[in-house]
Amino acid sequence: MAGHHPLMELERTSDYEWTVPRSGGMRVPGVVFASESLMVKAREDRAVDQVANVAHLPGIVGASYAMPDIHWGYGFPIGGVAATDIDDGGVISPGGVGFDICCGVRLLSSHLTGPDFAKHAHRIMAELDTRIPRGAGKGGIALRGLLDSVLEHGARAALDAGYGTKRDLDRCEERGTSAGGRPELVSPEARQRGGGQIGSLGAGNHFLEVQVVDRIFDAGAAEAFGLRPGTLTVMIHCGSRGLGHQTCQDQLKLMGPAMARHSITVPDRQLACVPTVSREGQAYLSAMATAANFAWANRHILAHEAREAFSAALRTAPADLGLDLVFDVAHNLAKLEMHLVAGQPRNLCVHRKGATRAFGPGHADLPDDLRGVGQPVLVPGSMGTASWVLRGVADNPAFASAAHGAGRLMSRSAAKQRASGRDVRKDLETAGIAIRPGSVRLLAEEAPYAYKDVDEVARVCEAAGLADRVARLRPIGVVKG
Amino acid sequence: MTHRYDIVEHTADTGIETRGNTLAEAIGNAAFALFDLMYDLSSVPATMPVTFESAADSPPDLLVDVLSELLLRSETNDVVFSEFRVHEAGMCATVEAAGAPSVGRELRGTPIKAVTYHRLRCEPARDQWEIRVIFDV
Repeated sequence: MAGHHPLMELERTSDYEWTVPRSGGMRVPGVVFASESLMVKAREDRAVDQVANVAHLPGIVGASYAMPDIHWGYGFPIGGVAATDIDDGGVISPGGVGFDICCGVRLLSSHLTGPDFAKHAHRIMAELDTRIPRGAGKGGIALRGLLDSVLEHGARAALDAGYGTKRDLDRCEERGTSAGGRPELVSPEARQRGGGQIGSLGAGNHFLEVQVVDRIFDAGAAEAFGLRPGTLTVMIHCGSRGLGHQTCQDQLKLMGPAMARHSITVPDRQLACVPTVSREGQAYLSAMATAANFAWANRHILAHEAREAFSAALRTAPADLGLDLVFDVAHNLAKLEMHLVAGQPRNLCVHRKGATRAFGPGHADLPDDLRGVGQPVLVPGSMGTASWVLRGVADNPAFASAAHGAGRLMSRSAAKQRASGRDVRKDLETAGIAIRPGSVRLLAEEAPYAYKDVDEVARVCEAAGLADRVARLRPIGVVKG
Repeated sequence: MTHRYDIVEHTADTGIETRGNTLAEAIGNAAFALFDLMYDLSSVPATMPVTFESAADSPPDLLVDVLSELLLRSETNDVVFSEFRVHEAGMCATVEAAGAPSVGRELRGTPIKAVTYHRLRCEPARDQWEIRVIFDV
């Protein structure tokens, strides 16, 4: 979509902040946190228009924000953050969560080092290749019979079924269970799609990566997170699979008529919304929580399986590998949170669509051992590039939110035209990255050059006051969905 | 009709534009595009038939309903649909689709998760029906 002109003109208000002034039906301005280089693509495609569209949501407060990895999405921009005041007509919009409800990232630290991996790389990658289900359709690790308890209790249900450790729950956002999960609110169709997928990566940009801690930026925080230079980490990126996709589709169908009943209009149907406190809004929040519980359990089970894979490959008990959870964060979710608006505490519904919650030090919802440091914020890269661990800081200007990834730069068809999947695999292997793709052909769509510079995204997060850099992680083994 | 759809460039997802002499024909072409983005349909025999009905209040809603139902049936029954016959009267569509097992079949595009309402278009233009739909991948 090169050459497209945004509806709104951008005003650069600081080195890392751009404002979309209010106009038309916008209730608040738009604010994009980005450097000049990161703004190039957002200016070309429809991402800035989408920031302006989100500013039309009833009850929105502050601004319609976008993180440094902003790019064109459907409805909300990817990287979009919108908070609505639930006591003042604030709405909930399923499009502000997306189809992959509670898609997110989980990071494990370890005692192992780069040389440990190099010595056993073939065996480790072979075990992961065999054990981590991925690609379209079915193939989850857990039995379908676990579905109801997973939908109600999330990762806790997986723990009770023998997966993972209790500490895993302590280091997970929401402690692995979204309150209000009601399995009866998930349609038979969603259950059909997701029932056989508990414990599976899916496809697209989802992955399991083996990484090495490449560089430390904040020694104190890195120590608290269990990250030491040269040690291995395992990062898992996936969500709620077909169950979440179908739940969102079901809810969107209900939103159209519901929105008319509440006399709400929006500039894009994908932004359909209802008052958060309405019957329909509460039903969506419960359905979303139910699908989120699938996602928490999904990543919990995949992490368990990764430990088993390393254990089998290295012939070492899982407990001796130190594959401990650093943290698990969602980046497609709406949360009810208290924030200050114009100095006053307000109950907000914070939508993060391709954005990560980033609570600063002292927040009551953080685990005791991280409260003094701030929440780990996980920013995955794109196979051949780094991933980042940031930490939440005080006075975040966007309702405690930060980036969620590198952000896409190139369309899928453009990426495929540039190189074949085989070429991408060869390039990764030449760079010393072992790759086990679900499909070699599809690697072309997810090539590293299809994404923005993740190092720049992390730098801008810090410079814009969204989150501080803690550690840079370099990929050495990729199991791709 | 050999050229049944065009790809709409999107930074993260994939969209298509298509048309038909009737609403039913246009929806059939959109259904073809949905699966052709993921699989090379020229090599998918139409051996597993399904029939279902969808009803909606408007042409765009009918389009989303039909495509979503096909996606659901594809994922839950492990089938790639390659042939589509759509009959429509009064915003009620009868869909006859047929395809073959998806297990072991090579994907040529990243699997589509859902049908979005973003920039959705399904309307008569001149003497044809025109459709634009963005898929979440």
